[in-house]
Amino acid sequence: MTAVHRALAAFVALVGVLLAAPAPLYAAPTLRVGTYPNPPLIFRDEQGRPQGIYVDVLEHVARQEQWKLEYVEGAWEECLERLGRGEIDLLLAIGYSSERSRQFEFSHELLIENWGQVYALPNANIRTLLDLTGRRLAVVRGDIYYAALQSTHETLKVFPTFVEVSHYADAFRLAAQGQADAALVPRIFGAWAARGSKAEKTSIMFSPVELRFAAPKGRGKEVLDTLDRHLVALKADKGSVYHRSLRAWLEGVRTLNFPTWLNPFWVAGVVLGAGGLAVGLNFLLGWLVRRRTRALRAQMAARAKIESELRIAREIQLSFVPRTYPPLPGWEIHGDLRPAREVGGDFYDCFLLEDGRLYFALGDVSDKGVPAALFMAVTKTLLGASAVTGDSPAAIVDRVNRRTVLANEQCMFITAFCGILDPDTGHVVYTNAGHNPPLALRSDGEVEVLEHGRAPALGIADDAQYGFYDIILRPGDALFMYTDGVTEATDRAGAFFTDERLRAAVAGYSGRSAGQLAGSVLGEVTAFAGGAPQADDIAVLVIRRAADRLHLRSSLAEIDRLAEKVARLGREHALPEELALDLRLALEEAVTNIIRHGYGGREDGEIRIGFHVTPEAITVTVEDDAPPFDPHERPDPPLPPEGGDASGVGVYLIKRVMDEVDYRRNGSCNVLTLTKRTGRATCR
Amino acid sequence: MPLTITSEPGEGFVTIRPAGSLDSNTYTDLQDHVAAITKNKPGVLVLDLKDLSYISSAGVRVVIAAQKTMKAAGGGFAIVNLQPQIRKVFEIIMALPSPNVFESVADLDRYLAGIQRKMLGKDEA
Repeated sequence: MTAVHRALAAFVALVGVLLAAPAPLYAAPTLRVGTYPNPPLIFRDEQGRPQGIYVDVLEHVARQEQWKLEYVEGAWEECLERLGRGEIDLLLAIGYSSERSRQFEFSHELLIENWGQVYALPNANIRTLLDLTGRRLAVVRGDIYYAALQSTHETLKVFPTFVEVSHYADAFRLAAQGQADAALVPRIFGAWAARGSKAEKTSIMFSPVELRFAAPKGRGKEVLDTLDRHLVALKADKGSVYHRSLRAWLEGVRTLNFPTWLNPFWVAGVVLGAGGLAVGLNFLLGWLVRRRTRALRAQMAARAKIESELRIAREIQLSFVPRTYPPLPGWEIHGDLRPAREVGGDFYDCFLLEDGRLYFALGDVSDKGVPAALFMAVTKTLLGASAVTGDSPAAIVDRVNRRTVLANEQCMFITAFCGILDPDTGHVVYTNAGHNPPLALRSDGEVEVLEHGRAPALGIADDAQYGFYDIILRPGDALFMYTDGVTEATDRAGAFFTDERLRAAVAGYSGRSAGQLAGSVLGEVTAFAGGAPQADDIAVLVIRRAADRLHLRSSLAEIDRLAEKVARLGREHALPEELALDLRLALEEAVTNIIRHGYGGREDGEIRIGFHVTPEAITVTVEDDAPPFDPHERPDPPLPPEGGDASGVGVYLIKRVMDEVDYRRNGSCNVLTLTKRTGRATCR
Repeated sequence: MPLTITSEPGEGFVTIRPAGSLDSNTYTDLQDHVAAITKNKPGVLVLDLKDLSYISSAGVRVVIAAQKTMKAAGGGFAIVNLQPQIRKVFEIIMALPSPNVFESVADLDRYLAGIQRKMLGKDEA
């Protein structure tokens, strides 16, 4: 071999070497790998070196692929954030979910299956998911099992108090030391941490997930594909680093030191047996979890179906009660039904009878939920059907009572208030079958309790006697009917709303429409409860006679309408003629002054007049938006009048024919209140 | 409430009969009517309020103005058949042209006859 040959051979060899191992010549990629303490999958040993199943597998692949690895340690939530920001290239031991797959790139090959496992001290008395309600459950921020529990606890009706920590070890320690009632950790970590701990695995396990690798969205696809390719090969080879690592770490032992006297083959047999046992147990556990998950899913599906049906039932029930009310000029009607559960036993009803009178009823079945709802439907229908006869409320209720007693094997009963209103006169005839006495809110804010004639509830005794009573609703008066869900609403401390609070609340809303009255009172009830769950169904029905009001434009032509209104008021209330004329005079003088002097002849102003008639007195309020005008500041005019300031004569007349003249400025309004006493005896 | 006004000339006097409601919406009708009649300088203007059901200060002012006009022209003014509610309003603001307010047509006739005699005597003198 010549020197030339030798040189040539050396060159060929060099080229061969270069061709055979080209990688070291290129810059080897450094992978920043996110790790967090989750033994035995990943953790730092006492020297701070990364250890665990994931590390074994990753380092094996890295050696093959000549990747450089740089581990970046953090809490779990931190790892997720770093991955989201792309500060790390790879995150180990991340559970796959479709939600996370929208944020990150995932490898496809499963490394190991994990699931949520609850650990607790044996005396914590936590056996099923339901036991967790109201208990302190330690969880890790950003944890997939924590998220799973949160997303299903509404469905499952499981409401633990979550204690959030950063690491699984912290969560576990809180439970083991009794500072939390239980800890939610991954089952693999749990098995590792439970060694030598008093905390035990409970039977609560859920949400199996596949642990994979993840990279930032939009990059790292090649790395993930490479990992997948290796994993497929590693899994296929039972003697691979993957299987060895699993067996070793899941045993909880990293290395086995053979005593010299021990036959290595026996040891190998034992190790293999133990490994096989571990794998077998793993399969068994996996099967158990899958079975439980299936059962849980079936349970949740059944539950979801029932809930969906209940929601529909609720809609149907709410559609039973009128949401639009009979058109009744001069009257306002408003009802509200709020079942405590999806459906309930409270109801209200109202409709016009053929003769133009209004039938109405409000009732409460002695139970809650579905049984009450069924009973409510029947009772409301029976009452309504009985009412169309046009009989007295007593007869209506009596008929329904006898029917209900006959067919009442459940021994349910219904309290009900039922009445008929003559809208022309405001005369209400009513019967009370064991129900909370309604309140009559008079236009002056006085509240009367309709305590008369409380007879037994429906469905108790077929010989119960129902009488009827009456009340007259005058303009501005309202009848407030309610069920005991209102007065027995409880606050967080368990105190009742009470009759007294209800009376005070109702009294505060005189002058409001029926809808405002119902809404405002229920608003107070809700505020009182302060977030405490509604214990009982709530129903409210308000029937209100609109206040007597007259709106005038600021035009003298409107004086005719005023005269007509006063004349009609006089007829309706059988007022003496002289009194009606005095009222008309005072109002005309007041209105004329407002038009002439207040609005200065402008015809686009508004004058609002409210009439309030009681047997003792007539009170009229006159409101306008003109500049302030206090009649009391007017000096009396020269008498007989000499012309000049005409308003003085008008004011003088008002003061002389009315008993009280009160003026106040209310915001941008003048409010003149005129009172004329009738001189009649005081009785209602 | 409408106001209807009729008038009837007599011997040396004119009677105006407003009927209905004399209020701030209708007083101008009477005002115009009175102006048309006083223009012809009747000796006496008589307001017969028998069918007047209502009056307010606006109406009272027309009455006071009519009285002033007649007085300024040297004529007579009389009111007859005051209904209680109308009287009440006049009384409150002390606007009755006493003594020329008569309860009945008979009293008014005697007054008018006296006036006529005075006017005749004046003529003879």
